[in-house]
Amino acid sequence: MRGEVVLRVECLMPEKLLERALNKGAAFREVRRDGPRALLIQCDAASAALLQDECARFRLPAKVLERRGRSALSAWARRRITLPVGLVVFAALCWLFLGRVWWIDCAFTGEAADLGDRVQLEMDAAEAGIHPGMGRDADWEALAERLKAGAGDYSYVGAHLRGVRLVIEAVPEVPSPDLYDVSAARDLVADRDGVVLSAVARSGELCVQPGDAVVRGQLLIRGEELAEKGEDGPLTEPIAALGEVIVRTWAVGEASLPTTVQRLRLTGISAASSRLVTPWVSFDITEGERYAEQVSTTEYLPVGGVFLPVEIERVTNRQAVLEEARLDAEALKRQLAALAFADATLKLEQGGPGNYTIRKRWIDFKPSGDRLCARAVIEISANAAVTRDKLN
Amino acid sequence: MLFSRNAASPRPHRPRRSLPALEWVEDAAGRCARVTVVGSRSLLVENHTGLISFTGECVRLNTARGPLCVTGSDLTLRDMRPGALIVRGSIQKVELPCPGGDAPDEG
Repeated sequence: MRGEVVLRVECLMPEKLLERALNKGAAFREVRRDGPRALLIQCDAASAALLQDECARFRLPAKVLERRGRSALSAWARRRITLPVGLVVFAALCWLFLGRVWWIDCAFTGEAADLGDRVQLEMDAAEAGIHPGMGRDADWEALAERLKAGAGDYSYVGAHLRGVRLVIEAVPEVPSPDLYDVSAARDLVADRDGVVLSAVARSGELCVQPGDAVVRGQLLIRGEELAEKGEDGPLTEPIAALGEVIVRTWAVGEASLPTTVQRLRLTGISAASSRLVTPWVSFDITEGERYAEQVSTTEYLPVGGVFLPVEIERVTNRQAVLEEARLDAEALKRQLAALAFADATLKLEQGGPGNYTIRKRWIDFKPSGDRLCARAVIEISANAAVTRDKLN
Repeated sequence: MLFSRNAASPRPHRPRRSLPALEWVEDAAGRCARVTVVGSRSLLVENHTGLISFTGECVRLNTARGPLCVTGSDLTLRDMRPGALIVRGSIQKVELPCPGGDAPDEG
């Protein structure tokens, strides 16, 4: 891109000026008249400098109207002479900023990610020497190993750099399942009322059969087994009962809502009363009629403008009639069903969240006076055999 | 111009002549102005000796044989360098210097 300058030269004989500049080696891209004594000259920067020298020699006005291309770029660079310094400082700051770790993030993955303790891991990382502002050239693998050794309860700890962010990825150890100790004597009892669907005792004596009705707290599997036959009967020894008893049970939720709603219908009759209000005193101007059922609106009309605190309070009473309207039956039933099933689900959740299988659900509606009642039933099956300490 | 005359003994009414076969020599010598018209919008003038006057309607150039006048409207000068320029615009008339005309204008 070549630099171009647009000059405006004003003198009595601009042709002579051009000749002098041409004789000195200038060349002009375009020359155009701009009035009887002025020329608009478009040329490169060197020719413009020659022409300006000639104008300065004879004290003629020569004004640079526009710079384009490289010439404009160089002029702009001269005006922004501090820009390179700023760019260098900015680059140095960027280099300093990006050359270090400023953000340390802990991420837990794996099946037991919920068991990760972020605060503890951050404290362990700080003790291992990981802190914001440290250089990027650290031995991250060694730091991760040190962190894993110090933190414990993690099956894997890794440190990864992502820009200025250090992500410490930790996989908490999956807790081992409870060990079944057959010598720890215990019974299994029912944690809810229901009808037994199936009963399996892996250890201990089964006390119920399919089809039996059980109540909460009833013994389901007794924790004892036959040891040997003694002289006065069989001898038993206590063991830990193990098994599952699936019961069918129901949760009932209820809700009721009115079938009608009272609404005000305007009759079209209205009356207005007005009152002059000042900060010190107020008095009625006109009296308006009042109705048994009415809708009132109040307006404040300024009298003396903004600076005089006097206004008229105008109250409009519109006569209305109270009417009862029936609600849409289908919408009401939908609303009642949602409320009743929510109530039943809430009762189910009290026995343990998500520890059941829904088999069936239904709802019945029954009018009761001016209300509609809903009774929602959720039939579930669940393992009701729990230890006594869980029952309490 | 193959033969130059003495300025002390002017012959104003005698036309300058050269042998037709030697006209290319005069052209090659570079003393006479060369005018190239491209359509009616562009006119190239080479070997002129100076710009006499320039307005949007008339461009007068000095040549070895006298003033050359280009008349038109909205005239501009393009690619102006020593001895050559391009006249752009709506060109209506080009007045070439007469061989026996006046002496070159000194500007």
